[in-house]
Amino acid sequence: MRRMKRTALTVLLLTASLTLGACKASGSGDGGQTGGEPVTINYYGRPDDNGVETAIVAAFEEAHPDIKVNYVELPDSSNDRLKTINTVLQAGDSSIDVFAGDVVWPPIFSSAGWVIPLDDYLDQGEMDAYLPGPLSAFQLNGKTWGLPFMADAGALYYRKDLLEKYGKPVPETWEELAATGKEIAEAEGDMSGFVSYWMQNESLTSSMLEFYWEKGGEVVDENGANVLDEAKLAETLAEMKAMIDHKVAASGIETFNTAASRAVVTAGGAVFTRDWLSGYAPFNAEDSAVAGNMEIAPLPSYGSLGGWGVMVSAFSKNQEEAVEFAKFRANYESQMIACDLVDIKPTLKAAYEDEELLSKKPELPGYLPVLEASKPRPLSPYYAEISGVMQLEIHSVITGLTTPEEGAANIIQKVGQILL
Amino acid sequence: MNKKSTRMGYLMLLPSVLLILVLILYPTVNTIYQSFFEIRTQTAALGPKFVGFRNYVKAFQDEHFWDTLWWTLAFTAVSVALELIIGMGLALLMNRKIPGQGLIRTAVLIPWGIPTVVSGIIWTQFFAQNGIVNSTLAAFNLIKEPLSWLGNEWLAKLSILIADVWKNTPYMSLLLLSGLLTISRDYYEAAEIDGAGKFRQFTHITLPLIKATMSVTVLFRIISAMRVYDLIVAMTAGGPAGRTETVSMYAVNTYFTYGNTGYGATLSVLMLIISVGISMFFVDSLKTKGSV
Repeated sequence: MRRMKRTALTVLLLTASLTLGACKASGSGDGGQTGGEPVTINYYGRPDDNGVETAIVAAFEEAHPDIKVNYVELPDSSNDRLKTINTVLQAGDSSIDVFAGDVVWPPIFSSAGWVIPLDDYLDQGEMDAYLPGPLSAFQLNGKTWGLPFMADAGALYYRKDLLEKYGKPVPETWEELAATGKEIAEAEGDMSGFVSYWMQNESLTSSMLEFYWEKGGEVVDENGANVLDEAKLAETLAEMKAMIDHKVAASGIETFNTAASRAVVTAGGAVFTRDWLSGYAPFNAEDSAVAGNMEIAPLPSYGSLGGWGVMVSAFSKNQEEAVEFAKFRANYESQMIACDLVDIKPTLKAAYEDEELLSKKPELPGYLPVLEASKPRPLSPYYAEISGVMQLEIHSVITGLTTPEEGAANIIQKVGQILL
Repeated sequence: MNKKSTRMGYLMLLPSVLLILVLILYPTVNTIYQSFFEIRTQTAALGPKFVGFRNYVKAFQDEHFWDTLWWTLAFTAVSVALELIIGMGLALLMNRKIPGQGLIRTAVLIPWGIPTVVSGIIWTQFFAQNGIVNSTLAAFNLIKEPLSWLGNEWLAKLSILIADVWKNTPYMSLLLLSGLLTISRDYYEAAEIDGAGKFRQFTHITLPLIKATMSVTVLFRIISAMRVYDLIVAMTAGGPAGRTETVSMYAVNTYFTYGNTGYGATLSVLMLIISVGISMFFVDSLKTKGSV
């Protein structure tokens, strides 16, 4: 009997220590409103870099004395942010009224019924003010589920000085890019034709899609049905593998994260790179060996659309006020505040014609063609899982564990199961 | 009197019992409950659907689950074994009266004091294409081309093991040291008079007397090695091609990133069962020493 008791206690303690690490305290809802004013809404926003979120919240509160905004800082990585928001919304908890979201989230949250469409609160003029690319990631099933406040997209960066030296145009196809990159790198010696980050993560899927889109491939149609093309996928994977085999891509590209790839570029070790718009600043910063020579252009065919926007929770008890804040968070004034404090790319057309802003950030117009040639990643609520499968299979092919044909067949089979 | 103080004791335990119930038991029970349902973020509007053991059947047929499970078990076995051997060596060294003892003890602690994610990033840079490992090997003419440490399945596994051993050996050696400190010197003196050599002293005095400490230490390490997450996320994010993905990484991805709550809960429960099962082996050795 005593033995059993002790065993039971030990098991309980073990369970305790095992689960302790896994459990997380979720948001503490402050319950209902007590009639009086002002109304307080909870905003789960991006990290407060350089005080940007605080400044925007302060500007909003000044313009709306009857609404108080409680800003909660989300964790650092996109996945951790998703976890936090997921946990609260899954419980139907009203402690989040409005939140910042990655462009790949709207399909998840809209199909879960966790966010509200904003169409009733927006007029056509307000919608038209946004660049169509960034806005399209929030538009699904004929409704608008959020507003973008920060644009991003996959872009091609090239060494202007080297292309001029060898009399080469900016490549318009991936094939041309590989050929030009190889030729210049071999002539220059001690550098690579192309670099990017191809370690097993989300950017790897984005990169693969950019090759695949050039071949006319698609992942899902407007109804979310699977339209993957096995032959085109195999071709895409073979093309990526060939870039490694033919030494066009920097050696080790399959292990590079953002920092590793950018280190190669800023040391002058690559002719071309595929990076997000956030790469422009570090590439041309003072401590970069290629400052002033790293120009930006759209990728062949399309670049994956990235960026962030605001969405309003369906469980919010103060939806009117939450929408008011969401609209403010993505409006011109907020984006100007943000531009002042951090390096963001605006999502409003007018910002790219703002004389004052252009005098401070002359590189802005260079982003426009990139954003215009951007395309949302597959608008499926199951995108994260599809991307997970793709990352694994793409990485198998580029590290030589499987052939492009096997990789393509595996993707078709596994994505088929997800999109059943 | 005795009864009264017993009741008082239970009363004083109440706050922590409540805490355990709310923070530990509830999430565990809830996770087990969820594992019997088809719950997806994407279809949250339709509500959960009871599916019985279907999630468990799915897991047993899920090749990726088996791959991650074998890797997790292999990682645990190899890393804990290495940490025990090296940790024991360090503990014996730190237990000796040698000059600079305090310095050695502090120095050994450093790796353990560094946050796991940070040490993951440091080791990633060591094993990078033009990192210190490749350049050292090249300087000694051992390799012609830089090795893709984190891009090759076996090299990536080796890199992670090295990083983990570096990180966690200090923890092991300090706990073992605390065990060594409790052993009276008299035993060794007596053994020496009887003519026992150093090795016999170690196997006949040291080992039996720190067995309890060792069991607890190894048990804690096994439990934490089984749910390894941050180190690997920082180093390879599961690559190459998912070959270094552990069960906890797979469960977290499934549960949160993919929004597949039911199946993610199932993977967590399976992991819990396996961990508890392995830990039960050690419960025995704890029991025999319980009377000390």
